[in-house]
Amino acid sequence: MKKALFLLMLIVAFSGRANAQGCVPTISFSDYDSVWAATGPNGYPQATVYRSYHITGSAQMITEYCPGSQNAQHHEVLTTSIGTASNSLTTNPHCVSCSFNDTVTTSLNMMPGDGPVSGNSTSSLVCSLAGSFYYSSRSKYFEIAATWDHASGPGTYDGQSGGEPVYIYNVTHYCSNGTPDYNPSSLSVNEPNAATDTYFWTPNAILYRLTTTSTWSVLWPTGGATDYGYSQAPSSHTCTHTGPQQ
Amino acid sequence: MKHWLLVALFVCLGAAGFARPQQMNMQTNVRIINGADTPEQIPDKKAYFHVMYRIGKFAQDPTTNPVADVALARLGFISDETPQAKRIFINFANQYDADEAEFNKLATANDAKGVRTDKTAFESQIDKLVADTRSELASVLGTNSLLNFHSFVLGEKKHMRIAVPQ
Repeated sequence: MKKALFLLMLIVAFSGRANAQGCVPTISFSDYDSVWAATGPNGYPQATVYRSYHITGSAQMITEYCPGSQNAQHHEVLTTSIGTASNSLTTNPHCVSCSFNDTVTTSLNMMPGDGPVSGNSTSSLVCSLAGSFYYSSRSKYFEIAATWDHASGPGTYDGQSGGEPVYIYNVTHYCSNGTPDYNPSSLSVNEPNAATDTYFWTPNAILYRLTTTSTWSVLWPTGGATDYGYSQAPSSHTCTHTGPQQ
Repeated sequence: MKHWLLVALFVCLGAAGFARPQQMNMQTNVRIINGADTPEQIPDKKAYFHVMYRIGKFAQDPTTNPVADVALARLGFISDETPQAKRIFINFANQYDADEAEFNKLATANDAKGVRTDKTAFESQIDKLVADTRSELASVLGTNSLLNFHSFVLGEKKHMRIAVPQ
């Protein structure tokens, strides 16, 4: 009788100990919630804004110290959104100690003046036995603004660059009231006889910011050439954005 | 009496062997480094990994290839640099996927045996892949393009976070 009771106590004590010591995964995790852009399907000045949420890492565990975990599997659940555009991903199950590397991307066509919109990127690491054991969430606020310009007179030849002729145009800003303060007085363009209804679209022209008070950032990295379009009717979008530009 | 003890023993074994894992509550002890607050704590190799992998994946998908083109053009890459850089980014992403698949094969086998998989060799392999890819980029990009790309990667740290074991 006494022996049996002692055996019982040992079993109870052992089962609790194994669980407490072994079921602690060593998590390494990183995420990259990036924002990108390309020209929208309707051309300038529409932009397609991409949000890409990428996670990578692992949740390693010594399965022999965690009862039942040798049969366990892990998977990840990711979501990302920009306003009403969203996407999600549930990965296939994989081994507990396996490395994971997952991405979910969504996109939204935006005109300068659209927004502000917000969205979240979330990720959960899920165990088939223990359920969700790690959760990460990132919120982003998107406000897209732009400045684009019209030639106010004929271009002036300014030599060659990269084998192409360069012309300097004095420009007037179509959308200068309250826009982020990117207001060049002239632009350098590889185009000789731009009409006054040609608009110039500069590399710094699409901006975004992540809160109503944060610094504006350039959605497209700086550098590159000025693009231009022909005889486009000015957009009816008014620019009401304010704030410092990065 | 013996019969009663046997039943009790069976119940305990059942609880230890089956019930507990199903109600397992994993503990996770991690420290978060947020690149938005402390970008300097995000290692360069981690930032390069994320950016190069992202561009590599964009570049090999016809739907998102224009995103890669725009990103590289806006970084000031000149026309003959862009295709070479894209090839390097695509190779990087594919090589990472291959290395990870190999590691996961080993981890799956080890998990089944209850053996811990040492991840340090895989991590070193990826660090070397990042370093080699940066060297390859340096061999095809001009100084301005390389500096622009480096500035871009450092700037992107604000969109990254790392969870490290405490």
